Amino acid sequence: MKAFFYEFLKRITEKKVIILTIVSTALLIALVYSSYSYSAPPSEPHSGYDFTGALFNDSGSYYFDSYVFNDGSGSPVSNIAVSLTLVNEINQSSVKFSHCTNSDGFSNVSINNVSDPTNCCIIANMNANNANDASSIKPGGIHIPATAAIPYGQSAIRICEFSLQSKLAPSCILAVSFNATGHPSGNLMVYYNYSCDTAGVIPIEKSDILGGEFTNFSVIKFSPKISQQYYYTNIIFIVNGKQIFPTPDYLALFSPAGDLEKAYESVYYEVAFIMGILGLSLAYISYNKDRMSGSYQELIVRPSTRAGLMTSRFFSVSFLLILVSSMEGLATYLLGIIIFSFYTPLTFILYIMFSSFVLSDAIAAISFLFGTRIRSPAGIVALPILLFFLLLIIVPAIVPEILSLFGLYGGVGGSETYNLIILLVSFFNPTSSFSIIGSSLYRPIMKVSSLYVPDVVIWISVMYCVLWIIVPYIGNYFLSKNSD
Amino acid sequence: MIHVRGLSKVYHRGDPPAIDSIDMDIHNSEIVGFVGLNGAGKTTAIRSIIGVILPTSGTVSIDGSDIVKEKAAASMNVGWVPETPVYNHDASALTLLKYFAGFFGISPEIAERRAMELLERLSLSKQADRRVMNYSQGMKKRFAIAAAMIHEPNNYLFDETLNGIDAEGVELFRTIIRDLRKDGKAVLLSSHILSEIEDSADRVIIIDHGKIIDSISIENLRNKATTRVEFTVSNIDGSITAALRKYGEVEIKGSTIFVRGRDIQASAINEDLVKLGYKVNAIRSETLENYFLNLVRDQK
Repeated sequence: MKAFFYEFLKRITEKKVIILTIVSTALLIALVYSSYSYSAPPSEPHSGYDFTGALFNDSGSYYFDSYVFNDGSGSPVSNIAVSLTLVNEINQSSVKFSHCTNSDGFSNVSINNVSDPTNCCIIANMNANNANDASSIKPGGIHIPATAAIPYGQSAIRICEFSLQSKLAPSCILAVSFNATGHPSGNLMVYYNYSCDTAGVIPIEKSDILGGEFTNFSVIKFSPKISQQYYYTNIIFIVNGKQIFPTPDYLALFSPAGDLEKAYESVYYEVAFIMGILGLSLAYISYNKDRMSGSYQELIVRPSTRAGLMTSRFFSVSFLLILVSSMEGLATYLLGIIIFSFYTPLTFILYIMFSSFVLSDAIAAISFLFGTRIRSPAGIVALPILLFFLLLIIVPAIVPEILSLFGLYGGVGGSETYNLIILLVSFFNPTSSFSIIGSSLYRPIMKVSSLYVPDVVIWISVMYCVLWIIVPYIGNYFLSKNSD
Repeated sequence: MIHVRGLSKVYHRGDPPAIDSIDMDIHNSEIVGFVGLNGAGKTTAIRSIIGVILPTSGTVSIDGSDIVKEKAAASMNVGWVPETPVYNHDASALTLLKYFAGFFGISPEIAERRAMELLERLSLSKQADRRVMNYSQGMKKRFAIAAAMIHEPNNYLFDETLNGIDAEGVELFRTIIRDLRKDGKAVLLSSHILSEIEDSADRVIIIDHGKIIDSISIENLRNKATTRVEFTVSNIDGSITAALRKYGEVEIKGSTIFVRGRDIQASAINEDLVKLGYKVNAIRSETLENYFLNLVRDQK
């Protein structure tokens, strides 16, 4: 046992092994980063001025409070004229009002003489006071029926997205609080909550404070934490204990989980290739090279057994592969936050880590087998590499071609038989861990079968992948015991 | 002490055994020469005893531990110098010796001290930081001796160790194995040349075609073995036989005279022949090798 740990530690601290591990990890992180960056190209930080506002009704006197902001940063923009048009939809008459934003980006326009609120509406627009601002002002305005005005004394919160750095997820939310000018209603405690319910029925079970208290005319910027693996995440706001604007003012945020998976899939072969080559390289450096060159005999005369020596080296390779897979998972998680402002679901991270580890360790285990049984240098180097390429590239390419000869096709509208055969072939291929686990977790390939039972299938897939490591290792354990 | 019983090794099914039911004991404070022609099975036997290859049958016990069933315990007490040392580890001599020592639970400090002492003794101390894989074959042999001794085992197996080392190395090696004997260690020293180990060994085991054909003490060997001296004389005549009979059996074949006897000295015969007016063109002397070769020939 002492020799086992001694050898294990020696292997994982070997200079070549450390360099190989670091280089592979860096390559994997670069791959994931490139796939994510490609999926989420950075948008222009600033495209113009936007505004939001609230209409108040104080016993027939109307006020329109507005906030003009830079939609690249959420910062207030001053000296922008907010013009209002009071339109009577019956007689098509209109009256115009205007007021410039102050240094905080706010403006307050009083609207008098609203004689027929039922048929009146307010149309708000921005107007530039100078040529530079004119090009930044976004077209479009706000249309509010006078009847939708908020009663005097209540507060209004408007939620806007800004700084859309990613096409997959808004990076920041702007919450703007309004009170009718001159009538503060006290501080507001605002909370927000997430829900995955696309129907908008939002149970308030847990709330997080938004980041402080709102006072009159306040703006708070924050980055939402999107942590659910659903396509939509709703955010609701609770002001002083009451949910405000339940519909339609909740904000539906697009969750990038599905797109992350697609982004990762775009580099799946590269990741599988790197992990496979890493498994082969570590197996060669740690075991096969010594078996091939004869250095192994110098070790076997030390107080260790053949199986013990092989096991310590295999475990050290497995340990390093777990380390690299974990670093890959961690990097994927962090890149999700950095690039998408998205907290990647743990299931997805575990899927990446587990699939990467299983693939590389299964290849290493098979390579160890070659090391034990084959003596020729060419065989010990070339055969594991050939087998790896055959399993990773040739088999997945050939099997669909063979099936097509029998009239079996996949894809949309493809046959269930085709999917099941592809799946079965995957189970006999140690490089298929990504597709086996991915299919059981995300893709419908298995769901076409009436046999599909989600939890059972996932655990069978996981166990089957682990068998690809355990079976070659156990076989090698007994072979190495009885091999010179 | 090394105790070998019924040791056999068949490499491939259907092939004749490389070694066949070998029995031998190497006692403490004893140097045993292990002699055989090339391909006789010396290396296979040594590699089986050390545990590098698995025997097909038979047992090897090293200080009471079976090399197959109690591999770790048995390996604690044996050192081995292979015929052709292979060190492809990407490490310096000092690092590699410390690495080997680690298997035996020797602390890095003690291992470093021991390693430096051994490298000094084997004239490798100046090369201590050089990679062993870049050593010459002779240097690798010296390093292999250090590697075999790093854990100070009680038993040593040297496989054709004198092959490929220079005269200084040979002298050094002989001193080392004599010191090992003095320290009570059991030493097996293989060679295909009997005279090579004659000066050091206490006993000789002769192997041929995988079988032990003799085990004899050096003293008895010297008594049994006759010396054969061969002279090429140009002016040979009938009286020469009578002149040389006092040395032993005389045989004449053309211009060559063979004198076979115990403890005869070629120089003394040559002196006599010159005094008698014979012109001696060439002298060739064979001693222990004769015994060894005859023994092997008898087996055939």
